[in-house]
Amino acid sequence: MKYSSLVIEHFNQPRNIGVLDASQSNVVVARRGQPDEGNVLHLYIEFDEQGFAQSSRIKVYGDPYVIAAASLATELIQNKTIDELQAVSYDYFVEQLDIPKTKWHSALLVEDAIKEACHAFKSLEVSYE
Amino acid sequence: MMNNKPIYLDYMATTPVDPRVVDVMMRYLSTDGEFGNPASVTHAYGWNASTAVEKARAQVAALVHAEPKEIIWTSGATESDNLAIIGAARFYHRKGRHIITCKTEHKAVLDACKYLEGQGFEVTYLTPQSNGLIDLTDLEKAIRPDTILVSLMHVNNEIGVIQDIKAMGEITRRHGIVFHVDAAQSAGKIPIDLQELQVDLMSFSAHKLYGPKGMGALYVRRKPRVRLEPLIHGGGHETGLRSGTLATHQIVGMGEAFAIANQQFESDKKHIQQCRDKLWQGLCDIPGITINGDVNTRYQGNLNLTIEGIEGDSLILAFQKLALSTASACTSASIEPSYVLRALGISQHLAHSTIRLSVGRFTTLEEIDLAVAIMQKEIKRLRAIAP
Repeated sequence: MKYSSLVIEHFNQPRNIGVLDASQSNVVVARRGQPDEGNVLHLYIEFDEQGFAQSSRIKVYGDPYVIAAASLATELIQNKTIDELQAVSYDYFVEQLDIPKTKWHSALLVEDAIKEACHAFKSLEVSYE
Repeated sequence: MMNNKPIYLDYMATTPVDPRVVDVMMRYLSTDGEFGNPASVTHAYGWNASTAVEKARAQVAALVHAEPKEIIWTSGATESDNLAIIGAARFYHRKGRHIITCKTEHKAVLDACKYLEGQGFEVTYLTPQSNGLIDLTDLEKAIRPDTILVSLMHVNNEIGVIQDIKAMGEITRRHGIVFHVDAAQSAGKIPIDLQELQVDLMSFSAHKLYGPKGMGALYVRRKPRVRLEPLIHGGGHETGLRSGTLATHQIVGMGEAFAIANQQFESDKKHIQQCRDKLWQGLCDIPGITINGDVNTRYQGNLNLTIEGIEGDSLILAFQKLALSTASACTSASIEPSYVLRALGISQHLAHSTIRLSVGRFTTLEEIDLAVAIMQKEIKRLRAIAP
């Protein structure tokens, strides 16, 4: 498999690796994928009081595309509103990282994780109300 | 190979041609050399080429303790396997139409057997034990009154395990069944004595032993005589078994490669073992790394490793400075894990996280140190980012 330079860059130096304290009320975590399916992503997002994504962290296992897409996602997430995050699609990662069709599931996993995190944040908001 | 190319750890895929072999081959190509057709019997060009071909035949035969006239030139081990299996099946089909092989054989054997299934033959595919070795009682049990051929490899190309072809030959001979062995990965690397082994047909490859690609040979036993139907017709070369003008330069290359392997058998073996052991010493303390295939009964140049916790494609990208093989075959739509590992009972998930490292005559201890450092660093890095 031949990878684009952006994939190799993110694969060799993935951004924002780590975890956030999910017991905090403004932190959500989305866990997607299964090891025996080849990809696992844990995505942590911290929101500020205005509902902007303040920071994010990832733990990721999988092929180079899922590592690169998850890393790229942490840069994309920064300062986005919940509505903006919900609009993030796998297309963005496919285009940016030049992901072949047979590997689109890697980009979908990242989209799913972002959507799950948004859903979790909305649930938090409801519980506050 | 200490330049900006990856460190070559894929000697079971192919080997570089030994410079001494190149020197000999160059003497049989152009006007200043012996370029004649070995089949030309009317002039010195042909006679000299023919002499060189026969010398090479003796060199190949000497490595495996065979008679020179028992060696038939082919285009490689794939052709040798096809000629042995299809040729024997076609010749002996009146005696029976049952063949025995193993699920972990090379595709050249499996696909030749599959072809014969389409021609009305029945094939039993033995399942090896979890260490890759065939249980001899399974072989004996699979034999039927109509079994005409058993085809089993000597050293497995992926996991490097060495099958007990001596004991297998005793079984097949007792039942009067033709025994074919694919020795592409073992010739010149572990001892083969065809005076002692009861093997009837044996396939060889030049490029796995520092000879040229596109060149191989098939051993066809003369006492007791084994008969084959040829696959290629047109001139009756090689006692009618393999027609076609002989490729003198390729043949002398194979002969020289086999002669060198014979001369320096012990020093090659010692060096390769030293490199492989050093490689394993550097990796064995990393948690979650397992060797596939029997640890002791294996070719000294092979390591087949499953590295848990790192996905297969990421392993390959992380190890880009190393030239190695994965256990997966990419097709256009999906990645198929190795059928060899699957036959050992290894899960699809783990089979995908498996690599084959193979060292050879030109591997250096310095390269091994570098490879170990790269692998240790990348495994640690990728595991640290995983959940």
